Amino acid sequence: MMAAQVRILGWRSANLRGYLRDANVSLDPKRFPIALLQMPNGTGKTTTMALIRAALNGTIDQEISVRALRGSDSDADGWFELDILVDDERFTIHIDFDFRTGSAFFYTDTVTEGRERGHHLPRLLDQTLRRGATRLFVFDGELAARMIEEGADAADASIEALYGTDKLQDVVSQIEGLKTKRKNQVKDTTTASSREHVGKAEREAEEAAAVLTRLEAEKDKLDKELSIIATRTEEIRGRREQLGLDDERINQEQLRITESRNGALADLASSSDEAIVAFRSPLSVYPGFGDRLKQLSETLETRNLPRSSKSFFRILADRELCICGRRLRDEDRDHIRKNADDHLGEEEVTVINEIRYQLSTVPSPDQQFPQIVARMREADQRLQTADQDQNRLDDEKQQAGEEEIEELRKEEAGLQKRQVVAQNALRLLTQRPDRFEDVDWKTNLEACRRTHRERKRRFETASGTRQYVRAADLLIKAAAEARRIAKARLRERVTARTNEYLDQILTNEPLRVERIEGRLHIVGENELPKDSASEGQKLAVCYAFLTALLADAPFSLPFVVDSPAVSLDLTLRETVGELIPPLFEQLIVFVISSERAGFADSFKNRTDTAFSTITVERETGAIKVEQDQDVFFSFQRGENGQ
Amino acid sequence: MSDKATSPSAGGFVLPEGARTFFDYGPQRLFAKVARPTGTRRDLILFDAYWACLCVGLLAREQAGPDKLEKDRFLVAYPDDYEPYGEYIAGLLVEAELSAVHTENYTEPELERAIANLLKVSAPTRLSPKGLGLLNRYAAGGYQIIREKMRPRPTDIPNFLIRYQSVLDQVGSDKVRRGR
Repeated sequence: MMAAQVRILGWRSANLRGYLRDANVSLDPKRFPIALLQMPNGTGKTTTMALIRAALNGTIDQEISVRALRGSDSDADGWFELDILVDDERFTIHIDFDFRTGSAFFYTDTVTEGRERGHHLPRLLDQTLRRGATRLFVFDGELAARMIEEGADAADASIEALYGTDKLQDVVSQIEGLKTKRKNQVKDTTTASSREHVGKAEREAEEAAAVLTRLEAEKDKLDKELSIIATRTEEIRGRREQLGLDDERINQEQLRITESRNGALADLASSSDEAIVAFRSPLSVYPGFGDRLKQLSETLETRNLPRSSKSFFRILADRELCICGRRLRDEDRDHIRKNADDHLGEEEVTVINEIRYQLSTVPSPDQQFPQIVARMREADQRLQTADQDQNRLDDEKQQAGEEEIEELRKEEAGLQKRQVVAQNALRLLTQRPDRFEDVDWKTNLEACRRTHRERKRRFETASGTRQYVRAADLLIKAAAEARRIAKARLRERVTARTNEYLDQILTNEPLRVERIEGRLHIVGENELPKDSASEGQKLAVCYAFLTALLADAPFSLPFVVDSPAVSLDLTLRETVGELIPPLFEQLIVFVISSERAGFADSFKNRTDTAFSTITVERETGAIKVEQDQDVFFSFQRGENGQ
Repeated sequence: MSDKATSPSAGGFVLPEGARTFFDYGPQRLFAKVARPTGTRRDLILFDAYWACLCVGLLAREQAGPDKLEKDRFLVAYPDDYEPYGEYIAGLLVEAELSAVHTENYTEPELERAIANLLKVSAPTRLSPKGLGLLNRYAAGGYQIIREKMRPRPTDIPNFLIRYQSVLDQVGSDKVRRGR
């Protein structure tokens, strides 16, 4: 399927601020796919961008104050109109502004329907635009920063907005709605007594869900507490080690102690885990046990135990012939039956046989407990020595005037106590109990999850919605999984495409995208310098990401951008100027005169580019739109020089 | 073979009285009052305390009376880590019991019957109620020795493991010196 084409044909406005007081900008994207619009700062670039976005989205963003759009105090109302072409159909979105009430009203003009109240674009396009995709191609400069800012998720959100993967979340919400509706319907049609029964089951299920939420929150809190304690303990240790380091001798001694202590701790930890495994094996914990078992095996062998079973002799006594072939007489049979009771039953013979079989193959364990413990003992000795050395060194540091040491010691002791309390609480909360009956489900997460499942099932069964809810839950799971997989694949694809563009524009720079996870993660970003050149390069990364995103999008969209080169250095301006045009079938760029150097220069003499210069006369307020390349490049007034 | 009345096994493993406190049993682990050492992944569980006592009891061939046990069982089957060793533990019990008598004076049927009394094929522990009762009493006997030899009480896992190994060594050599 071909991507639907969206083109901007131009815009008009009246009674709005800046040049929008009486604007008529007409573009001809077929003849001039690239339009450079030069305007001084403060004449309405940002407002135009915001109004184009509003017209496409069908809503007025919070960033726009309708009253603040007023051209002059005498104007009671004003309007903005955007002409677009979606495939071959022309749409005009008209917005009326009432400055007295601060309201805005949308109308849509089409050739077939004429003017209609409201915002009516083709459905698929409308959905995509409403999900926030507009900010990607009518590009919001602030979004660029949030693409790479720590804690922001603009990059992920952009992918979701453009590819509609978040629609799967809508599916989940719809299914949840259907589940609730179904439960309510069942409630309405049941008798009073069964309603009471269902009501009780529902209350119990809700109680379990609430307790589960509480316990999960408690777990998060304890995890955070332990993480804070661990970080602070590390800091204290680091600080204790740092104090007094300007003394070379103390410095050397501290290094030696730290190294020795860390080594001992690591050895002790790994041996401790190994020792527990060995301790649990009877063959390893005490090597003499293996000898004892072998001895037992030998006793059973020399005494020929176990002997044949009681049932063997009982069966034999009923036969005509003995196993040696001799014919049995009645007195023989009586004798056999009488002595059969000296033998064990089948089951008893089996168990002795099993033990005997096991003992005949007593393996030698890989590692004996005593050997592992010997390693532990040695590591423990090293640790104790290191701790003694550290205390001695701390005393020396204290004597040398480092009074902070004592405070740090006290704080560390306090932290250790808090850590034990939190660890125990977490263990109590999260550890799977040996027997669920022994724990209170309101205090243990595993038990609570179990109770929650049971109660939910009971409620669903009671309300007759079990099968329905199970099917719905399966669908929800499938939708969530589909979203996860789609997102993961799109992230990978967009990352690869972004880096392809970066290979082109930052040939000599190592700046590349490592992964997309909420935001763009740049390879080795923590080592990057924080200077302006680097900031410009990061912006280039955002452009590369955007172009990768939009070039592959389900719609062929125009790209409208405001002052794209201001923060870039000259070399980067040229490369960005060369990179962007081939990627979009329509490009509208608002520039200020300082951006001509490097950036606008690269468009000079292109036959596919229209150059416009828009000015507002300060004295008369007259608006002038000049479509001429020479005027564009000779325009002298600075962006603040009106 | 000991004819002393065995303690009721309560159908499972019963801890020596006092072991929980001695091993500082807290929420789901031994030595719960101290933080788990950095870098370690394993904890000691309650059955480890029982096993520690049992090993020493079996090694010393020492039992204690039912009054030295807790009232109720704490587990009916081996925890996962011990499951593969069920037959060996049963074997060690049989060995300890046989060594208490002069087996050479026993006829084969007597010996066989004595062994069979301790075992049960369908039990998860492979032990009959009588066998399990005896096992608990060996654990109680072992605990008395540990309590005696580990003073002050162990404080954490490494401290316990290191000192426990010395106890095993000591009890093992005592046994050799006494010729049993």
